[in-house]
Amino acid sequence: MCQVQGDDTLMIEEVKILKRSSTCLKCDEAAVVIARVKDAFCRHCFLGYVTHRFKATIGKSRLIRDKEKVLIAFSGGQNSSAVARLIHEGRSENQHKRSDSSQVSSTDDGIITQQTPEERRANRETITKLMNAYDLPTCVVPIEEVFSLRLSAESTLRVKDEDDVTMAMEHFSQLSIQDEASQRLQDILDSVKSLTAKEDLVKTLRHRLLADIAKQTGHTKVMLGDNGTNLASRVLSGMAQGRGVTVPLEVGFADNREGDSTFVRPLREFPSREVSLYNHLMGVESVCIPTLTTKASQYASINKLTDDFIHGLQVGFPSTVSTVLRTGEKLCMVSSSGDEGSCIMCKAPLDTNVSACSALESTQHSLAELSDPDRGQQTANGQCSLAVSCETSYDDQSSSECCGQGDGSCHSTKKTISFGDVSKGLCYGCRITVRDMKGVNSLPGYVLEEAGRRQRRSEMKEEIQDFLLTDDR
Amino acid sequence: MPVPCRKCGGSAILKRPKTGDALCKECFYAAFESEIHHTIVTGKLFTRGERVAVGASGGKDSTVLAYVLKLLNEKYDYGLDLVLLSVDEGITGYRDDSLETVKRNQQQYDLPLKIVSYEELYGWTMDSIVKQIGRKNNCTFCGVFRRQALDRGALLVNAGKIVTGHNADDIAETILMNILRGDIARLRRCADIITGAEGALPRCKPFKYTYEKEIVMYAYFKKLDYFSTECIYSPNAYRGYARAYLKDLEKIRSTSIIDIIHSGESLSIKKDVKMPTQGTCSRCAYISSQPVCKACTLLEGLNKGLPKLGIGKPHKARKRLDAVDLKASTDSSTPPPSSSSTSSDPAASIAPSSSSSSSPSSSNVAAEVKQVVDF
Ligand SMILES: [Zn+2]
Ligand SMILES: [Zn+2]
Ligand SMILES: [Zn+2]
Ligand SMILES: [Zn+2]
Repeated sequence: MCQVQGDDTLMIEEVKILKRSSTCLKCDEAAVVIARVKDAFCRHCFLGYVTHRFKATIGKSRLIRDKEKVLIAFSGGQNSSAVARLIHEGRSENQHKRSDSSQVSSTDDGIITQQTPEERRANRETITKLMNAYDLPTCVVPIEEVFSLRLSAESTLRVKDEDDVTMAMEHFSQLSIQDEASQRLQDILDSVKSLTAKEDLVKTLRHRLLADIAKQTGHTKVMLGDNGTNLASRVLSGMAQGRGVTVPLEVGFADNREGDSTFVRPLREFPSREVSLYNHLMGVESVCIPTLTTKASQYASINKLTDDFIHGLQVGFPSTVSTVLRTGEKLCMVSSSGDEGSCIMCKAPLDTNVSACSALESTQHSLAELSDPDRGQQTANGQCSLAVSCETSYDDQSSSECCGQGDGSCHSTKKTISFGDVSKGLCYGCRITVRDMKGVNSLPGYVLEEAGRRQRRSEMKEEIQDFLLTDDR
Repeated sequence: MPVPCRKCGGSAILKRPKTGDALCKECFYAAFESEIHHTIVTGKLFTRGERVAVGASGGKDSTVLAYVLKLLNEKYDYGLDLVLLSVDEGITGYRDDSLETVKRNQQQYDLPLKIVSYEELYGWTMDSIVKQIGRKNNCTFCGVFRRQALDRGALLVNAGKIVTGHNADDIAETILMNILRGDIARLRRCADIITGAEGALPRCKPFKYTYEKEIVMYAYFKKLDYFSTECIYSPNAYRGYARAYLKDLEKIRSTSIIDIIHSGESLSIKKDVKMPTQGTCSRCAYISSQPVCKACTLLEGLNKGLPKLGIGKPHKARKRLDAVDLKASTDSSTPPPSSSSTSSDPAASIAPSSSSSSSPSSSNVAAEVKQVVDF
């Protein structure tokens, strides 16, 4: 959240760079900042440039209609604060249009960094105070809420009625933290061995929660604060975590894998430096809520390492961020086939149906060679370094308890879901993350439900296989 | 206390980098070889009766490759006719020693060996190129020339295919490199196990899924003889960044290399992104996206005594070189530029300003980065 330098050092740096040319590119005022690579701007023209570029980014996507309801995902950090401010500015400018009923939403992730309930409350208050500056309805939803998400909720139609929306908003703004859900999330987090996997899991859960809030409150777009520097880093770290297939979704302007609520990234054309400059010049307030890797070493996680790597390269080669981002843009989505063609965790197209000569298959081959004589050993030490070996590892954990909901929504009373069943519905990237966990039974209900549903469907299909004329799903 | 081998229960002597399993020597050999066999079979790399040129540099990858291919060819009866193929760049001290290694390998493995040299193919050794252009851009020349030299050598021995020792680490590194350089065309190709467009010989990489560390282990325990010195002219800084990043990734998650290759395999490129169309070079008939291929363009610059003119974007290099020709033909009293030295020709002064001075850091990167191995 706080990779940007403090404001003072930022301005000192500007003064240093500015020594050479000191008048604004657009007018003759004295320049105070450098934007893009070497354009000097005065305060007024810089702010104009940011506003223009922000609008242009949204405009050229042609995705956001006038008066469309937009949910701003707010963390309190520099990026999302800048988005909220820019949207706010835009609204006050067009006051006569009386547009939208956008909303600012935040997730309270305190449990992830093991904050005490008091700390979490304090942070929620801080965030709420910041959000109130933007004159929009707000809510802070605890991340634990992902355990209340239901697969069935997804299939219900989007609420259209004003009353429904008001009720949903009220619901979200009054949520309190459920101890039981907290404990369950804590257990999952504790069972994840690596920080890389933990970050990945948290991100997937948070996105799902945001998408759900948007759906229930009738918002069709969710604005994320990712800036260009973050996204360049995401291109590489996505590749490194086996998520090549989602790179175009993760770094493009729009990410539509959640269907009705499209995630958009209006700051993607700004490097992080320009975002902080904007905040500094506009006096935008933001806070630093620590994340999993705040203060950690560069080897703490793949994301952290990649952020540092990109930052370092950018210093030596100022075109790094834009080149990497452009590469990410030229990649495109493979279309997923049918409702069973996407990952049950992150909704990415499934990239695990690969040819015999592929990284995934070759890995499976290596493991199969070894696990032949004694398969049990993998379960015994609970350590298996690669995907498929796990398919059998956790079967013995399956017990007769139901999927953990205990509220009647569980359909799999017969037996719990095994690692293998879940794994089949996961993309390559999520498999890496899930195999880093001790078990799958504490995963959120919507994941397990979907895994169970697919499992049953594939059993059905097997049963009728001989009578099917085409290999249709 | 001896650790038991994961496979046979005997005493293990190593931990496999790829899976983290403790294995004895024999079980490691078996796993290593069986995986390469698996790659060869599933990737449909060869057909029976084929003559295959093994790119042999004397380094660890190609040494192990030659050894393993010979072994698998006999064990599984691929029916391949293997030939070792080496390129002599003409770098005193570096190539001399590694070529000695290749010659020893030839005797040990009892495979025919063909050596093609830059000197016989192009009339220039790397030493003489470096003497003329200095150390700054020489990797551009070497990279372009080597790619063609292997093809031409393979044609000379009637091989229909080239196998190279590129391993999983190399491929992951190249994927990262191509992202950093924004080279979409290469990014798309570099994860393929068989590459080579029409007109060029297919190249394949049986070590695509083999970790570099395991290749070293295999060579170490089998006591295979290889030569391991970096090219004395290779300063490639940018590739170094990608390599360092990859090594760091591996520290955090040991499967990163294979994960990156998976990512590379599942990428798809937007249809409307312009891809160069492949044709053949009008001078040497080698595969090329330009009327005159890169090697011929570089060579033309060298032969005109203006080596820098040939470096950079193909169409710009072409323009610069044609300008020189035009000048020579209109001004017939001066001797042809090919025999003049760099210093006095007025055209020489165009070169640096148009090709490499706009912004020093980025153009250096571009030049150094250009020579990245083209899979
Ligand atoms: Zn100005
Ligand atoms: Zn997934
Ligand atoms: Zn053994
Ligand atoms: Zn040519």
